[in-house]
Amino acid sequence: MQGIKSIRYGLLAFAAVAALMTVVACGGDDPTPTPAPAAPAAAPAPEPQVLKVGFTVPMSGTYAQWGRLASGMQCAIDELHDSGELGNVTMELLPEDSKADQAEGVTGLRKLASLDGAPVIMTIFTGIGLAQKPVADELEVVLVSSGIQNPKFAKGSDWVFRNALNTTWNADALVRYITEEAKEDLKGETWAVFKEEGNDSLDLQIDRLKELAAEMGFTVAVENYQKGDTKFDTPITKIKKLEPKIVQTMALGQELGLIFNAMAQQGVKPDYRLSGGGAEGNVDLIRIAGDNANGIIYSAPAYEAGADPRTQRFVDCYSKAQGGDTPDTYAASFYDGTLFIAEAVKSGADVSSAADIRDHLAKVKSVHGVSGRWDYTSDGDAWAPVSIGQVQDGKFVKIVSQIEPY
Amino acid sequence: MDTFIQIAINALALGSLYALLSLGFAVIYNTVRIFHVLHGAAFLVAGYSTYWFTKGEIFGYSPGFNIWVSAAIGIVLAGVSGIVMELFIYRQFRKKGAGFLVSFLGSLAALFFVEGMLITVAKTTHRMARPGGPLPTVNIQNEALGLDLYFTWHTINTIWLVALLVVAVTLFFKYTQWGRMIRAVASNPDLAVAVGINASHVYLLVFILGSTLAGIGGVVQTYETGITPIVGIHLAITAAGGVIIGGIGSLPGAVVGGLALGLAQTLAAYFFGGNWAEPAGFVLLLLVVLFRPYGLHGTREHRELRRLL
Repeated sequence: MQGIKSIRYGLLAFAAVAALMTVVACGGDDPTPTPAPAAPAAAPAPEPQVLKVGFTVPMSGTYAQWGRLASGMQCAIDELHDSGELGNVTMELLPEDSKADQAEGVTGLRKLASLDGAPVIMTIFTGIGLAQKPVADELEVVLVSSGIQNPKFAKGSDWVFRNALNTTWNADALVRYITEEAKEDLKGETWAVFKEEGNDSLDLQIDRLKELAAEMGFTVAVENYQKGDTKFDTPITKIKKLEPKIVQTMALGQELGLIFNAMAQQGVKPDYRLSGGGAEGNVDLIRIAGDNANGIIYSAPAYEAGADPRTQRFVDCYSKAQGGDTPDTYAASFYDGTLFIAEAVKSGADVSSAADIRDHLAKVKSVHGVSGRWDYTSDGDAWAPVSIGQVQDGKFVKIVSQIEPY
Repeated sequence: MDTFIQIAINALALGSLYALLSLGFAVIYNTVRIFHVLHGAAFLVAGYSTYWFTKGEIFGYSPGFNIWVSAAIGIVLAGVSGIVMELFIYRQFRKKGAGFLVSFLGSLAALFFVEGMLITVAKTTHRMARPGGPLPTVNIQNEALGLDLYFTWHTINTIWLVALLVVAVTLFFKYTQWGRMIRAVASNPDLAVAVGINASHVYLLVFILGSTLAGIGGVVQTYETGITPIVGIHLAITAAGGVIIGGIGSLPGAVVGGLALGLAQTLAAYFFGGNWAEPAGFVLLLLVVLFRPYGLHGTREHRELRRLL
């Protein structure tokens, strides 16, 4: 009996020691420190977003040279990305060939908006823009132009914005240059104009020129031609009879150089040969007119290459993209138009919502671009300074950096 | 006075180019009886060839030939294009028994194909086969007569060249064996074949001749004001218009029709504005079709010929 009790006590002692050892092993110091409690999870990085910006622009046809403007926009996009100003948003440019045709422009807009999902579309050329305007309203996408100088473009639609000179300012700028800078008295003189038929924007410029003519006592004689015309002999014969002091062409493509050549061939030698928009950067003008292009005076948005570091970066970027060509005022305007669109991103617009982008753009007051400062009105229109240039030795040279409308 | 003369010169210059195109169109149409809008392609081939060999690049090589050499090459290539058109398009249509409408549509499709190829290869940039700048001009002044006329040597050369070609073509058809054979086939193809004339050779010849004439027009225009791919259809329709206005079946009529078109467009541009020039040509065409359907120079005999078509 004594032996069994001993065994029992022995087993109990063993169990107690084992339990004690177990407690010590679990609760004692461990060479590996116990990790501190985890900190609260950090907020997830914002999802990268893409703002698709469509661009209907002629990339073929007589006006194919205007396709270069896409390089101006891409340079702005690259600059915005590099600077980090857009945060997690990336802008993607989607050019679409409008062939300088209204129907093609509308088709391009529909494709960009409906198939490509672009909430913002940039465009150029008055006829195309005005045709696209109701479609933009229908599809509820934002339509912007940095090239349409017709102020009617932005009027009457919340979806449309203009970031270009007002066409009538070309008339003001040229008249001011002739009368104030060149100090000519136009009273009794004839100001002849060659104009593309059916172009609303140019009609507005003519109307403004006639207003100024009525005030200053000179006559405006207008000769129309059709887009794509190559023969101008007879209209020039007609103009020659009037002995104009000034001949102005309002042409955007090959017609510009052909008209000035035809004038020289018929001995029409006015004191001033002008172009109201469409001359600066027009490589066809230099190629077709050659030395005859020298001396032509034109109005254009105020933009000066190299004026500040950002402008110089733009010039370098554009030149690289365009095989060494320097950007003209239109490329600069479209660069600035891209900055305008970017303002919506910077102010927090939902880039997937055209309506939100529209609302943010409507609140933009001004943008300082490479063309200078653009001020925006509440109805989607814009104001910027105008300059006067002249073709000298085949190059487009600024001769008056800023000239204001009357 | 000088304005009137200047307008007349302008009309003659424009009308001469149209007359040349219409003559080439008529040479082909009168024999083959196809509304050959592909005629515009010969103009484009010559124009672009002239540009490329003078100022352009071909597979990275810039020939930089003298303008006369380039023009000659362009004109020859236009003639060759006529051979291609006949052998690979119209002869195939005839073999398949294609009617007038199918042949016309096929010709139109082929022209659009040529224009599309040119747009792809050459882009649509305006091409001029000479350095930029105005052409050398002649100035005739006479105070007593109130004259101060300007015209380019190119205009003068175009007018006399077209006049020479019209005379040459007329003499060819009247006095050469080949000319008589062409007239025989044009008049009665079955009878001509029956007497041993090889109609296939005749068709080939008219395409070479007609396309060469169009090619000369292409060279003239490309040198003066340049060329773009999309002018082909416009000029083909102008050429056809000149033929209809002058009288189908009549070679002199085609020349008269072309000149009339040039005059109508010039007068419309002077009195109503440059934008009315082209519509004026079509108004003239409409008036002729309505009131003198056999054309200005056409006759009852030609009207009978038209009815056979």
